Amino acid sequence: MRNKQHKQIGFKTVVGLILVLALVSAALLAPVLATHDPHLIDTENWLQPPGAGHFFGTDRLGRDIFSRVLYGARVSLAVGILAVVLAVIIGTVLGGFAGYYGGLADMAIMRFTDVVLAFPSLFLIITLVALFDAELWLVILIIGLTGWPRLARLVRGEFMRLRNTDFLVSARMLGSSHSRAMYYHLLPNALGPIIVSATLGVPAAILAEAGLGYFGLGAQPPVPTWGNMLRDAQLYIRQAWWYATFPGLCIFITVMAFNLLGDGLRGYFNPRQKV
Amino acid sequence: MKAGSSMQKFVLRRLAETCIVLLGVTLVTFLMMHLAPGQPLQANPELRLDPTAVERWLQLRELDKPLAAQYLAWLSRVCTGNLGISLLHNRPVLDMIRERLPATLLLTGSSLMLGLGAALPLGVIAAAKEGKPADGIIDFISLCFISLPGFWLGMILIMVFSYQLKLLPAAGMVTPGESGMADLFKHMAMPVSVLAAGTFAYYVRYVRFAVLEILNQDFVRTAKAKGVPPALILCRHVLPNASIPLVTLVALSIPFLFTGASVTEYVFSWPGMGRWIITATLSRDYTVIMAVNLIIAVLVSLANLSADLLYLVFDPRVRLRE
Amino acid sequence: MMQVADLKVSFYAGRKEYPVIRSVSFEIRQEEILGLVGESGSGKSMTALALMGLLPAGAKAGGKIGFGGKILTPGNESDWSGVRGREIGMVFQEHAACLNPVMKIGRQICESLEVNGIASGTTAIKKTRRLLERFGIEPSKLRFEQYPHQLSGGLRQRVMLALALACEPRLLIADEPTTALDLTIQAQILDLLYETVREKSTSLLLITHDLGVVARMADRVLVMYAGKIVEKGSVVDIFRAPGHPFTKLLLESTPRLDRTLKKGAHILENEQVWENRGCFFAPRCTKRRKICVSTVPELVEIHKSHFVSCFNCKESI
Repeated sequence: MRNKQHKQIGFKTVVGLILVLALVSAALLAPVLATHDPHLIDTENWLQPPGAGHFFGTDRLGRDIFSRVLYGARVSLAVGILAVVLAVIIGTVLGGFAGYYGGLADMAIMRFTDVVLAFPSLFLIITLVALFDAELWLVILIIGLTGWPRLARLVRGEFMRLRNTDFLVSARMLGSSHSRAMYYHLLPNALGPIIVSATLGVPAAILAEAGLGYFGLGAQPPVPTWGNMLRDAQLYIRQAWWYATFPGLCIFITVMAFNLLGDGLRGYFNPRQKV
Repeated sequence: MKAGSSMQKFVLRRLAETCIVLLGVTLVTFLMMHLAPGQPLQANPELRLDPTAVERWLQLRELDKPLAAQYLAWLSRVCTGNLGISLLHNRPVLDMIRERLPATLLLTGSSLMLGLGAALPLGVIAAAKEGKPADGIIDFISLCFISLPGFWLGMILIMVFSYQLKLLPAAGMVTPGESGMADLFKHMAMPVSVLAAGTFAYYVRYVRFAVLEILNQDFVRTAKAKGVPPALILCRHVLPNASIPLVTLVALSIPFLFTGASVTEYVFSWPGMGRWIITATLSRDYTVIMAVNLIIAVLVSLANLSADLLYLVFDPRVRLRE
Repeated sequence: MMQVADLKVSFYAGRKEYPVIRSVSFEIRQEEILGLVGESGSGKSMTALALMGLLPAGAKAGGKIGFGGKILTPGNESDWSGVRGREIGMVFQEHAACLNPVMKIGRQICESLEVNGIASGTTAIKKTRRLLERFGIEPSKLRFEQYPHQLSGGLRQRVMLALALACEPRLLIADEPTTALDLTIQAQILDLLYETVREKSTSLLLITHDLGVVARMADRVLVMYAGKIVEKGSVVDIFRAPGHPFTKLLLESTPRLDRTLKKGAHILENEQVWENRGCFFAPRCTKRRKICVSTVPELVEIHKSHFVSCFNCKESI
């Protein structure tokens, strides 16, 4: 008899969850927590190091970096979470169809995912965003559209695995329609891996959004995003170390938080699996 | 004969799938360019272009013909090796790739070797000491590296090593006027570190997983029951079985060699393919974008195919199926 | 030859302790075949692993094992060097992955010989050939070069036997060696097992849930329930006059051609009884009394060399 691995909420999950909640709250409470108006230009105080009044210093136009970082969190988290939600919806639907019906639908959908996955995601995102001159909502759409294939594969795998289990066969024999079978029976069982994949997809989306900002794409200044703040900061790394450090640090911590949470959840849902 | 036919069927099926995917890739690449709003060269406002000249230029490039015709024309050109002329630089794309590729390969190749070289032993250690502190430390480090935005890490490194400590050059591949390995290494140090951190983090998790999968198999327990010492178990039982997924991992890393360094090259002004692709994308150099995206996608599909085929070669269970 | 004293094994999830073996003491004598029966979850496989020092990570073990003049402590890895393979061999239940899939069969047997210093090089190869023939893995020349997946389940189990017995250990532990095999193959393997251990005067600890196997092969029997030994005795005693209610239940549940199955006798559910202040079988016992729920019964000799741990049994004698 093998010992059963008991499901435990690990250290990672807890820390990750706390961090994520803290970050989301900070982003939502940005107007309250911000010390200054993020758009307020004060050229006399430009490039001030962190100190009294300006926790993170000021940027090249004298704007308070701390406040801008808080508002930037809104953009990053919004893009990250919404893009992933989109990817999950598309991916679950397509993957579920492919896994459940098999045959031609499966083949067609799988080839489609192969095609999308053939392009490195960052490239694809940058290319599409640049070509379509995308602003915020389009960026979310594009990132979501590059993220669904991975999830579709996952859901397909789960549905295929569960498709032949006894409980499903009996449910169908008792008269469940196809859609009911999928929705009520298969989907709840696949939920675990979907949640894990979604949580781990947010970091990718956030990093993509930051990358876009860094290249001057996506949301444009004066809207503060962590990416475009880093872009500005690049010109001043010699004089103003704080300019680049803090926005980047925030990206790091946010991404780390979601990775911790996702990793911990993965350990929770499949105790003996990984990757 | 039976073994041959089932394997043959598999190979044929994969080949067919890959062809479909390649076709899809060409279609998607083409459509991406041509359905995007705006005209080529639009992003460059300095070029004050006379409308008739633009029209004539478009005509020359056949950019005014119907889409389907353009697609087929482009496809046939690509298949014969003609990847087009860069709109921005007015030079054949293929030549530009050839010029820049070595620089990129230098970066990606070294970081791949470094990353894998560190990931293999550390991944094995993490798996062997699962649950113990060593595993936790390695896991934490890899988590940190995965969470770091590459461009930010690059900036920080430049700040510290170039401007504060004045140890390493901030940009480029070589210092003008200087030559030799020492100079090259100084330029490579930071970008390779950034890239290697990423590859290491990614691979160490994969290695750990692969090795753990093996360690949990029954035959490891059988070997222990025979009295085989741990070191031999690792060498003779674990690693040979783990090498199958690891070899496929390496196969799947081939596309990385070409595009993995794009952002890093941009940050460090490294004269490679990556930086060139990014600037081309930002300035809407359509030919370049199409050509490069196509090549990458083809590479990825081929890498996937080869990974599957490698399994056939290496796994005796598949090879000798009776 | 081997004395097991107060063996305890538990798993821990966080702070909570899940005992698998509560306290087990027995001995294995020279040249005897000792059967260990119980349901899944009773701890019998864990006992086997503990005797080899192969407990899974996360298991905490206590107690001592006396073997060949040495004291072996489960959990103390250094005690086991030189013991595994050489002095004690183990055969597991046949799984598809119980042999290294990328190593040839012959090599795997040679390894057993080499690692324990019995033979090396061409001597090892020759010995392996002979082992293959002895264990019916024919044709030996062909099989030597084959990979595990090319062999049937029965053949693979023969290889496992050959592996375990290659160094002629003094004790062989067989954990459900035939459970995964077809019935006809089962008989073959059991016969082979019996012959080989008798031939080399090896002791055998045979772990199974199948009473038929025990009746056929064993000299003495241990009956385990919920991590404790509830009955100990010769195979004749156990089968003719079982003392513990669980043993009786087991026997009555075995279908026989000369008897009809008693109604309700075969309800044997697998329950993990974690907390219990009294006899662990009490929840399922028809003769349960007050004392059964409050106190743990000890193993008491009700007959010569026949031990039972049950309050009812003591009184009925």
